[in-house]
Amino acid sequence: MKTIISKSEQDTTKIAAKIAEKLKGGEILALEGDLGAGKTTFAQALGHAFGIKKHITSPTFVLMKVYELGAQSSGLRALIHVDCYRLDEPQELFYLGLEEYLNNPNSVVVIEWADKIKNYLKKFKKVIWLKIKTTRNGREFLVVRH
Amino acid sequence: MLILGIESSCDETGVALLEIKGDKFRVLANLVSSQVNIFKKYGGVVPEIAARKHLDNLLPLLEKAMVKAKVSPKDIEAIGVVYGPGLITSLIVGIETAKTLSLVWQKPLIPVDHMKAHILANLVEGESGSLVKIKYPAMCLVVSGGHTMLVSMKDENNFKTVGQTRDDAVGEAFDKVAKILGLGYPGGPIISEKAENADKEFYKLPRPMINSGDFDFSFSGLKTAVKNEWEWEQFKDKENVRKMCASFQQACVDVLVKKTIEAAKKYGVKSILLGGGVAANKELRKQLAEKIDLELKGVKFFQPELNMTTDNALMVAISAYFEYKDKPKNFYEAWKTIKVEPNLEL
Ligand SMILES: Nc1ncnc2c1ncn2[C@@H]1O[C@H](COP(=O)(O)OP(=O)(O)O)[C@@H](O)[C@H]1O
Ligand SMILES: [Mg+2]
Repeated sequence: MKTIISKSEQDTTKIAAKIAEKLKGGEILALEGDLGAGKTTFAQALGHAFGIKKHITSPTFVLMKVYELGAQSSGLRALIHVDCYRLDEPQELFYLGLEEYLNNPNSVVVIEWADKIKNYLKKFKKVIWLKIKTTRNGREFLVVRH
Repeated sequence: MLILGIESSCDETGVALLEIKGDKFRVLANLVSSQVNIFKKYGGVVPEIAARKHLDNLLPLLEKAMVKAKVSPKDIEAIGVVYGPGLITSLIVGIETAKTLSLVWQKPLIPVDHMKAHILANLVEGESGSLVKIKYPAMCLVVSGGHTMLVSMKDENNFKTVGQTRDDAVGEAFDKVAKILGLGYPGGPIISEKAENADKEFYKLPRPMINSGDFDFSFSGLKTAVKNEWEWEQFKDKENVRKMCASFQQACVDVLVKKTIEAAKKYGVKSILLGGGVAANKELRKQLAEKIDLELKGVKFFQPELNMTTDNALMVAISAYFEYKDKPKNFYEAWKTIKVEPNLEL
């Protein structure tokens, strides 16, 4: 467990880049934090670190967006950006075809509002929880590995 | 020719039969079956239930439309269906049904981009008459729950995105602000209703990216600003809810209007078109119209009829018609290759 302070979006970019370096594929980044905490901002920064040129926009409406990665030294092929904000039932993710990407060594999955599907995520091994808290002078990232 | 349109990209199932001869059209049927009420309870969506509802609704709706229009399969010339963007589980129902019909009835199948359809919704007014004549080039502001974009348009088949949101869509911001204020779902209609005649300068909210010099948008900072202001607000009473709705709505309208006008100037357009679910917002319609009148002499403003702002199959049929009319052969075997594209980009 580790706490990292992010005073600005630039800080978040750096944090995401550091995390991205360590990802080998097959990880799930579970984001937790209130509206406006900076979950999408983090996912954008992560995508940026992976060299995605497209705008990474909020997946709230379509629930899941898939970004293909260009040539990577590792076997990483895709970043999957999921948002559970509008979801009521965790098993619904199954119908969206998400299971194809979870635990897949070629993809990293980043999930906003992951706390809504906490139990569902228990069956996966490489889950990294990032709890984002809004504080007086920015954001606090609490990193917990399971 | 008679075109069958099918829409199932989100939580509305739609079937339309549109007859077009030259520039004359007649709407023979335009039916929508909505699931919004099912999901209102949560402000959410259940993809599997949504898909099942589409399955339950689509064929009965089609039968109803054909009876109403008094047509049989042989009268239909081609089928248009939305293949994206949208919810994968919902889109699949429309696509697979349309493919089957195409094969069994031996009709060409035209894949339609849902966002183009929102723009072309402007071409059909009323039940029959002449298609609306638009002078090109045009600039289109498309605003919905999943999209916020400015699209330049050379003709009915030529679109280019010149700007879009970098984070949240404006419709999404309306939903989330409604949630922050404890107002329920969907946020668009509730906020605009509460905002009526309320003080829109009471809360000082940012106009994100208003002077960015490009045509991109950002609404996540505005959503967060509302949340912060509201947390500080000691008196969360009805009056202040109304003032917050008005202040928030005005911040959105300011950015949308300013960027649309700037884009229209830069691209030297002759028309401006509005489209998408948020195009139903009265203040947006009114203020955009006023600004165009004031700043863009000679530029004509088109806004879809209110029932054409929500998802419907008529806008799909009209879009399919324009894709199809000059190159029908392209679509004879299309059922073999058409695929769902949830993240389709214009
Ligand atoms: N570390 C940070 N410090 C300051 N502001 C931030 C930080 N991270 C994000 N923000 C701002 O917070 C706002 C909301 O971010 P967003 O990513 O949309 O939140 P969420 O997805 O959690 O609802 C944005 O305006 C963003 O610029
Ligand atoms: Mg978000």
